[in-house]
Amino acid sequence: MDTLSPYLPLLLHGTLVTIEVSVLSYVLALLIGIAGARARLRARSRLARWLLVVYTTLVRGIPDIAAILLIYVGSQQLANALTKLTGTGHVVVPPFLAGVVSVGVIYGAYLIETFRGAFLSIPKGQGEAAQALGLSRRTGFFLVILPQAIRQALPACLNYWQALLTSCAMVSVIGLDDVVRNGVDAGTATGQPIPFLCAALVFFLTITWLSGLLFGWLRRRFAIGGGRAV
Amino acid sequence: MRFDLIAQSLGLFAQGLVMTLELTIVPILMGVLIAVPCALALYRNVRIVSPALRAFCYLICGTPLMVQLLIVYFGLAQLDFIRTSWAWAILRDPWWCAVIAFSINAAAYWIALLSGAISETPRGQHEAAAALGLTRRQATWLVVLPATFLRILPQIGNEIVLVMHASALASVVTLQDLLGVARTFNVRHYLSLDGLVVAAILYIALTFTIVGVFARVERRYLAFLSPP
Repeated sequence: MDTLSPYLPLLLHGTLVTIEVSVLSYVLALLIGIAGARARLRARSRLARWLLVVYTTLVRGIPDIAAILLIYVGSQQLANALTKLTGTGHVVVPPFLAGVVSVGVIYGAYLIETFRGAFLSIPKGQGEAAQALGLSRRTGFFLVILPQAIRQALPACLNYWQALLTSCAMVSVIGLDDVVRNGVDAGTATGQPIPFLCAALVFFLTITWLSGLLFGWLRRRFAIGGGRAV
Repeated sequence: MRFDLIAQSLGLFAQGLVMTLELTIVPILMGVLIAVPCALALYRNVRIVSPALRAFCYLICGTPLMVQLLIVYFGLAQLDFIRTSWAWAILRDPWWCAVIAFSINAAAYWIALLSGAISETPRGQHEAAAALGLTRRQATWLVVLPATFLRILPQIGNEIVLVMHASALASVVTLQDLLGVARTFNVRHYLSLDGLVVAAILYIALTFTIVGVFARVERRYLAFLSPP
């Protein structure tokens, strides 16, 4: 404890960064997953559907840590090219933004598949019933289709949240001072890495435990009125 | 893209590919070796051992491999009784650190996968084994385990891809795996993207080779499940 206490603010800052990156990237991944699944099922243009398949295939083929580096470096090069083209000053891609976007983009690809399956499992009659009740397409989607799809997708969503957390432990490779980086730094400074790395371990374990509770509650919540799927 | 430099460095990327394969195959095999007895113990609900195994799986699956790897790599060096023991000759080498961390991690996922699949063995298979006069050990090794591995064949492919992707973390502990050589290549030639793109292409090729091989194996060995 004596070794830990002077470095507590550093560790707390790291945990905050990790929580911010993971929650924001998960929200982004969910948005990509839901929008992408709808686009894959509904998009008229063949090009759009083909691009979505390419996107999910690429992400499934590349390790997370390589994809994070690739998106970070790639977006910086893109920014350089754009600023050169427009003649404006140099733009630096912030690592935090790159971290959130890259992890979100990676898990968005997995969630597209999840939500595609969930949407496919909902009987056509549900959409038709919503229309017959006079709901607009949009309202029908948000009030009728999506809640049922979420019920189907929840177990997979928990699995991917868990996997996303393990990927968020890698964002230090693009220079974010998250809980892992700060733990290693404090460990190097004191010559005693074990307490700090174990603190990081306990932090992740706590998040795992809490998210298990949260998803259990969500599953019960979304099961209300579920009965047997007809 | 500097294709000329990439062409000159093909040997480097080949070395990285070899190390990535090592860091995939060794942890997969070690993981299975550890997991089979553990999964059997979990299935038989051995006292003390089974709850301990469940806690082990929760700990390993609930925390990032990155932190586990750093604990093996940085953490164990802090302990004097390890630095003075024979094990230090092994733990000094980052390759062994990576292999140990990846194997333990793979073992936890294997245990979860195997114990679930073993408990799904149809009752009739146990009864058939008993009717044939097999002992419990014979039934386990000749009936239950082969059938279990056959049943989880599709997940085995996924598991191997996951371990292969996880092996990219090795570059964090200075190892020259595929991602490691890509970063070395970039540093050496003052580039930022090119090496990563080459590594990404090779990772994709590797992933879809594994996926393709398992699709063939499944067609061959799970043919009895496909509709006529």
